[in-house]
Amino acid sequence: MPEIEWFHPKTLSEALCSIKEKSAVPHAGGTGLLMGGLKRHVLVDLRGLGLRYIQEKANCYEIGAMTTYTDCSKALPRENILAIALGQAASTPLRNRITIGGSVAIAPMWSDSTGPLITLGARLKLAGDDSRVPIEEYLRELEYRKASIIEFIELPKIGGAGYYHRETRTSFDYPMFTLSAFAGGTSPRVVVTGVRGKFSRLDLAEKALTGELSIDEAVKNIRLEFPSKMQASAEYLAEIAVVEIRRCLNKLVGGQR
Amino acid sequence: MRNFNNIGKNVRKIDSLSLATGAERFVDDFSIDNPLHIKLLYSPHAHAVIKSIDTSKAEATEGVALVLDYRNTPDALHTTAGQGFPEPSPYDTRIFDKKVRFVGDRVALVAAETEEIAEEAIAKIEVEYEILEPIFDPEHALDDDAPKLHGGDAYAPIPVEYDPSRNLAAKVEMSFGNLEKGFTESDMKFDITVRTQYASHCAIEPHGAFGVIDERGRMVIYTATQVPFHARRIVARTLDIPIRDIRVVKPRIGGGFGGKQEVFLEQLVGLVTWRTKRSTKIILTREEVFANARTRHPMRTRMRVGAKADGEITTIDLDCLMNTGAYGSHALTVLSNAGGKVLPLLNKVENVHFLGQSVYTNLPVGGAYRGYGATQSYFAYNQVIDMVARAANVDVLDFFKKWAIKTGETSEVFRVLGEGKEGVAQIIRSCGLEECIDKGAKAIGWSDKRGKHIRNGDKIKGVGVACAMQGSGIPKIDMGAASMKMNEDGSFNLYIGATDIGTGSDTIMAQIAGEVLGISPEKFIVLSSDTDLTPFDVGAYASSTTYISGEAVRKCAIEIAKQIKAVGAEMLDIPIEEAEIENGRVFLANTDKSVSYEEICYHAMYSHNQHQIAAYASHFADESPPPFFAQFAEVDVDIATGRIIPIKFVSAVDCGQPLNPRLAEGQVEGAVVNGIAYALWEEYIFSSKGKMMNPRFWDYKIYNTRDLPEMVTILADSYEETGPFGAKSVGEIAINGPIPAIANAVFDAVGVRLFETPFTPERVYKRLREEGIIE
Amino acid sequence: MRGIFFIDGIEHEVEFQGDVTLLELLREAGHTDVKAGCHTGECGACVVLLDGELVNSCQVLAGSCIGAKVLTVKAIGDLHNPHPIQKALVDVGAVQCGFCTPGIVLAAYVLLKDNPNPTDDEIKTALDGNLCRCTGYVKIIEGVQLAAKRMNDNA
Repeated sequence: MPEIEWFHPKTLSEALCSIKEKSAVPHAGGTGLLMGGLKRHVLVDLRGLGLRYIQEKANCYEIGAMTTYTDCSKALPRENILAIALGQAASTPLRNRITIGGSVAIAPMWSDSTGPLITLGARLKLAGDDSRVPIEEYLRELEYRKASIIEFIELPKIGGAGYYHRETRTSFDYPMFTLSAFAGGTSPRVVVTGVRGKFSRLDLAEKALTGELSIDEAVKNIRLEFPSKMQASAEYLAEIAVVEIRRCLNKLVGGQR
Repeated sequence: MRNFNNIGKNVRKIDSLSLATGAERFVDDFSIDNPLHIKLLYSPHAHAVIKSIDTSKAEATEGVALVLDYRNTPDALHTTAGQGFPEPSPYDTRIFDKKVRFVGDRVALVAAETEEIAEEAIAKIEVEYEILEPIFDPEHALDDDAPKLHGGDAYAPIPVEYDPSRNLAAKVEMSFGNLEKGFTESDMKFDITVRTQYASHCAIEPHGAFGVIDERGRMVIYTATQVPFHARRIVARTLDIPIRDIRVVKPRIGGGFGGKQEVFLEQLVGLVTWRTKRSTKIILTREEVFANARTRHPMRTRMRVGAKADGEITTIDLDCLMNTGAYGSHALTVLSNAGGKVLPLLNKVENVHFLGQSVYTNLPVGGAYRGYGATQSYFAYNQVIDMVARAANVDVLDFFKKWAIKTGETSEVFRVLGEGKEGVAQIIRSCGLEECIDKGAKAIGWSDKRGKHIRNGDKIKGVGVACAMQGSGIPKIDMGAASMKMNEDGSFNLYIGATDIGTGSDTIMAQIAGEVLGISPEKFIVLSSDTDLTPFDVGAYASSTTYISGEAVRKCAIEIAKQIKAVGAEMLDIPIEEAEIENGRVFLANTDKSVSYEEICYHAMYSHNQHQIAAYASHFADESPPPFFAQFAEVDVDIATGRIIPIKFVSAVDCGQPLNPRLAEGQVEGAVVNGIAYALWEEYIFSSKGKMMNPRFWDYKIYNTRDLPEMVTILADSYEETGPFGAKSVGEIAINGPIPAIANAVFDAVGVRLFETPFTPERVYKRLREEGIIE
Repeated sequence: MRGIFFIDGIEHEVEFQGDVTLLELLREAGHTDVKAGCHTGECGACVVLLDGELVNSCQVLAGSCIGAKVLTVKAIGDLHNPHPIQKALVDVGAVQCGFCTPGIVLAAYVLLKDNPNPTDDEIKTALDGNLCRCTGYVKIIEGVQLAAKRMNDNA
């Protein structure tokens, strides 16, 4: 196998240059790269660029891309669904390595970060670009992901009740699907991940949270499409995802009364 | 409760501190001088003949020392099963064969200076296959038109039924009474068929071995093995090297559970080492351990039962079809145990028929795995008992207490059913099953939960029970030996063949010897499982170590005691009949006059009538006293999703006098957690072409700390007079209860029977739907 | 490439390839106490403390942690001076084959540093990346509780 070369940039813009010009690959925690098998030959180490931090601001949390799952689950408020999701994902030593930036950049089908981030309306700042990209847009548009480095994630601070469920076999397992919901602010959000297309906003479920539909009406019309998976058949997943959505809505709507 | 000095005490395991500080060495931890590294080429096809194989590019690669395939290796047929000689498994395996019989079967080997070079060279081997039709379904393996895996040259080394021309790897049949009459006269009949799945042992240490040539030209093999003596013999025979030129050493082993009761790497290491005269090493990757090593045999068990209206079972017809995969390792013996360890439990059944057949398929190879056939068939057995009890309106606990075998009783099955030959009649001398049932039922809260369907949202609670027996070694076959010699400070070297694979057998052997000699186990320097230094032992399997090897140690220590007394008597100038051993001294009975062990040894070594105080003993047993258990599962069944949530699991076990209670509990707890994960999650997923698709922990799920239910372990107050200080073995039995206890608990909760493991949520969901619990 | 690593307080200058994992580097450097069970970050036998954090060393590329401080089980305690965690595991019978034990010791060590009075659930979460097939975890959890109690009694 050809030699892997390392580049240890001193600044974020040096890192970005090497990715754009030498088609190098950013290395954050490394777990995702190792899982896929090291293919590309120049790795750009993002350690030491000051990207591992969580800053509480007036209206949001600013989470540096190198912040680990463990960092997030400890620093964010306990009821925050991102904290809940990341605190259950994988295992302790893996949570100490998986970075939020790496997780979003790879965004695998079985991600634990995607659902809560979309649900909470997270936005990304990419290196060398001052704008804020809504995470859904980042995930849908391949152009964003090519030759870019996430610098930090902005997680809005809003009060309200949240819900997170990850469907796994045993507890140390990647999810077959995740269900995230947030019933605070002006518009509730319900997101399922692991479906065809990786993630889906469930507008029917959201209508049940606003009261526009009853839970029964909403749930009986939800149709989810899963690809077939190692863990379970697509048909089974579609049925029990609906069960979990109903449980989620019962909890949140019940809490609202 | 009896009072001993060492026995029944929680003596710290001899190696536990050195393990906890990372000081102990496993096979991969030894510094070897400049070893060659072995990598293997595996077949991508389930069933094929090698039409041509070109290894020239691999051989020409710089750093490659040797490339082997069927053309340049010894072609002796053998079995890789680590069993006594002649092995009761068919000789159907070659080191490399011209035919490949499962996806993952071996095609070629490269030995090179580094692992990377070896892997590079493996990729350069060119093979042309003639692809043959595979057979994957064991139910059709015996069909006339099924593809046949093995040719006429494969044979069984012992006179048992073996017919490769029909894909029949083994067959066992026994009966007594009159089955027809029994069924006709029954008031109630039951008929269930259950299926259990492939599993991997998942010892955290992967398999591995290395070989070196020593200063005198002998070959020394260090291997992660449960069977060092069988390994030595099999390497010698397959490579045609004299046994005296081979030494096999077992270092620390990172778990076995039966997966390392197999000799399939040692021949490779031995062959490369012998030919090149270089050190050679192989460590399997986890993927190889899953896909290319050994597994638990899948089994289909059909059990038909006839019973009277009051629940008395009069007739049992047990029919087991076992999938042995591509080779017949343990094909006969696991099969025999499916009947032999299970049927004697209800020993008053008059009409019994057992038919077992092991068949070849083009799938991964079955081998020894904790429970060894009993795990598979207890699934049917304990469910049927639950069914019979319910139909007769009898509490299943009372049913077991009434009908299970008891102290002083025997079963016709013992006499009739052995492993490849007739069985060995025996009487049960110790049975604490009733105590296990009572204590276990109390611990699970049986009467508060059974039949109550306690509901919490979508979750319904149930409790279930399973009872079982296993064995303590194979009677008249398993043998272990021990030798001891004394040192000047009153310590002893204790040499045992018995194989400590993490179980703590080194420690309990020291406890046994210490009990005989009246001294602390710390006074024994235990060395085990080195074929040059320690006497023979069959190895760690069949739950033989405590009962058989332990008795050899006890006998050896008794011999030592005689010699010590003789010297002590000489030193005290008293008749030997008046000499007594106590607390590491020899006393003139009823006086204070004594000499210490230290003084005795100095005297014997240097002063007078000089001799080395030393002894040697072997043991095999005429019987195999079974341990017993009653295991209880409390589960919540989520009827909206089919998920079974284990809440509490209670094991009440009779292993005779536990020599070391914490170690005995540890055996039970480890087996139970393995059994629960096997019941609920573990499985092999195959592609339509027979490839194992989940050879990683990613998709092969075993339990971690967060999965645990509440666990309770109870050791019964029991004593087996034929065992060393009352002990029976305990290594395997506890894995047999989780499947049926959970299945019975699910029925208790929702009234649905489960017939196929693992009980994944999707499978249970389907059953709930079939039975109308879910629309 | 070359790099300096501080392994159990000792400076090592190592020459290594870009794709080498920390596990491979440690074992090459003689640390056979760091075990390899799967090479995929799923069994936890290879965990070490990397700058104080518990990680699967098979999932860390050495090139990404040059200059880091690594602690293995050998730094926690040895035969002559064992750590209370090691003693407690031994005392309760939580060490069977011992292959997972170095990893368990390190996971417990880092847990008790931050949380000297953990609940059983907290212990289970801290050890959720360490697979054990021998013990069923029951005595491991008991051992960590005992270690915590003894360490608090002595504090």
